[in-house]
Amino acid sequence: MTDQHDPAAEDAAETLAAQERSGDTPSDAPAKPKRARRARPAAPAAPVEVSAVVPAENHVGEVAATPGVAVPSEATPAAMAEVAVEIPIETAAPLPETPAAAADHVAALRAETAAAVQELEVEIRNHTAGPDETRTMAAEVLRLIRENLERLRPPALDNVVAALRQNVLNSDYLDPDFWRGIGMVLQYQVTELTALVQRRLRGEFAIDSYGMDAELIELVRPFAGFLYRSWWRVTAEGLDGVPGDGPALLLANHSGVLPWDSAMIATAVLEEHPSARLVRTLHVPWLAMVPGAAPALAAFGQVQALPENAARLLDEGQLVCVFPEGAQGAGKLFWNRYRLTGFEAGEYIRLALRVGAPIIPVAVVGAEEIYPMIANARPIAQLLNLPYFPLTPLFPWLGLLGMVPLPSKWSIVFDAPIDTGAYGADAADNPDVIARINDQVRLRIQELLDEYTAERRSVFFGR
Amino acid sequence: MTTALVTGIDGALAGLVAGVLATRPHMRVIGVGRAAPECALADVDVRVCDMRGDTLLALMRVVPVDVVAHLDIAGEEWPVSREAAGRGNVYRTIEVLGACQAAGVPRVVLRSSLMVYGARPDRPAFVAESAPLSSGEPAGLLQDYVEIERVAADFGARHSSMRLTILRCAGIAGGQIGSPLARFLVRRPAPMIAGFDPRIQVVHAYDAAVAIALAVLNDRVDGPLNIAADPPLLLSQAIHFAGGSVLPLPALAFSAAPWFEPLSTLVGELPFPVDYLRYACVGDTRRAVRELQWEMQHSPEETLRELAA
Repeated sequence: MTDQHDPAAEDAAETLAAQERSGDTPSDAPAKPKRARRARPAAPAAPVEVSAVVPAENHVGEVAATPGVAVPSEATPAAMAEVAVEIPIETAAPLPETPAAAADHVAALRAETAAAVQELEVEIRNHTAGPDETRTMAAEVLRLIRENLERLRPPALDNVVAALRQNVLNSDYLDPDFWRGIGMVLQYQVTELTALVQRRLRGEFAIDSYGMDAELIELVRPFAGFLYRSWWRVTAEGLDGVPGDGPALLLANHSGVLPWDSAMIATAVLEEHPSARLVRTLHVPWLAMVPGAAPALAAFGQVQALPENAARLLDEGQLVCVFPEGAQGAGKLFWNRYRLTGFEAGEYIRLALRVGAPIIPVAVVGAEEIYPMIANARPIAQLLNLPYFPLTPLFPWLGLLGMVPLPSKWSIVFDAPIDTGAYGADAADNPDVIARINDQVRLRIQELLDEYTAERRSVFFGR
Repeated sequence: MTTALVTGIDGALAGLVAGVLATRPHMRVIGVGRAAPECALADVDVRVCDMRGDTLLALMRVVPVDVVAHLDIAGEEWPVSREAAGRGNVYRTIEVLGACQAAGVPRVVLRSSLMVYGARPDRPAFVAESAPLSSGEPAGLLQDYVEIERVAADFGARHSSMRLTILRCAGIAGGQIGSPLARFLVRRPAPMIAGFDPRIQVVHAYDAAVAIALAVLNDRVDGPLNIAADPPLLLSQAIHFAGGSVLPLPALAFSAAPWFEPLSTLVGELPFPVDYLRYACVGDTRRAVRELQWEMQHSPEETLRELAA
């Protein structure tokens, strides 16, 4: 990863350069109205924004009058509007000369915009008027936007801030203009996304040597975050045991038909670990034969579960996650839930011993209930060349809808790491030591699973 | 004074290797081929002959040779029809190895392909030199390389006095040198199997020539070595960079192509068996970097953009 340039930053630099060269490129057009508005904050300059601007004036007083809004006491409504339009312009006006300066500049602009959006989010959350649900939803949408800002380029950044300031700040959530503003912001994101897809179709994206595509991971990160925080409300424990750098081996129980558990372990480490590490999950090699699966898995940093691959990843100091149960674990029937089957990690434990990488047992609780598998339709599985074909209360009876996982409450427990260095240098060649560590990890994961399933009172609400 | 013999001097890659070697001090370079190279090579003693074993042996008896680089592979730089090629490449290698053994040449450098490992779903992400070779049914040039590897392994086991270095080069591109892979990547459209996008490796012709020259100069290294530019690219990326365009076809189209005329023109001649469009066959190049001190000068993207230019 280190030897690759940052495509996003370079793109941003290119856009800036393009803006500088020609005054009326399409990318520059949305920036113009705001310049006009700086002189006369409320003047509707762009036809699209007319309806959005007029109600903004009407509601300004309301916001300032509402108690509990996080607005500095000296800020009058007029000053706020001034601030609102000034943020993007002040930063966008001095166009940098060199690409490096452009990258810095874009990063600064991004950080500033993110701060502005977060401020808005806090404001909305503290807002007391209006129904609670709409407010939470609006705040969540803002959060999604903030997380997507990473991908936006300067002209779109300006517009996001302007649109948010104009419409969201003067928040009457029942006002159609509020939603129109949100729609506009989303529309910019779609435009950005289209540009991204077009660029990717020209092959202009960077992969690492295993085929991992950092840009694509950033793209799905908000969605994974949504599943992590809102859908499964995952609580991750013991993340401080995961080393901030250097090799480590995660051994986890597998469950839940589709590998959502691997996605959530990766999200937990990416979002909640202080050094935001990327987890390299190993997948069964036959998945590479499924059309569409192979490029997708590789793009998300997954590698085939072969000892050679694990050895190379650990040598490179990466965080490797293995599900020793394999497909057998993911496809277990509902009444066998939380019972480890065929937990054989000997080969990977040997590699960890050789490198001296700590081994971290991981227990995932909650993933067994996302698709309660009542039966395995073996003939269909054989016909489709799959390891199992699940029959759940919803799948395949409801078709694609049946593939929506149930929103159970999850806990991911990262147990205390096993220090492999303590076993000595030649432990890697000792099958006895390896078998002992394998049993230790298996029993510990089973213990954690039993403990956490016994403690929880409801599958969907947890403790 | 070291004397190096480069076979297939009429080819562009052999010309490059001979040119690199000729710049070294205390180095005499003899080039043999069935035709003279298109442009004259400075300091290279070019001999045009029929390339048969006894001709080479007679030559090597007159001029003692220290190391032979066998680069005379038909079908690499310009396409050869499968009938015309026959098993010529394998026979010629056997003849060269036999002549070298008879003349007492201590070292031979052979050229092979990185694709000899075969594309399979259970191949590691980076295949080391010790991995077994493809046991499937590769066709055409790739079949020749697999057989040359087998012959060389067998020959090396029986003649322990001779050291064989085999350079398994990724698809060569750039430097105005043709290769089956380069001809495929610039195709409009280049067919791919829908739902698959394996990683592939290429190497710039200059980098490959330097690697072969280093292997000729280095008398401490033997055995197989993977030569490729890092990092690997996705096949679709490679096609785009090389100026071709991608046409994803269902896997069925490839198996039906021999019987259905419009499909067979669309699929056309592939530089490798169809499996290479599905699974990656990427070599681990750390040994070449460590033991040959080989360093790539041209990134894969740069190399492929050169094809488009």
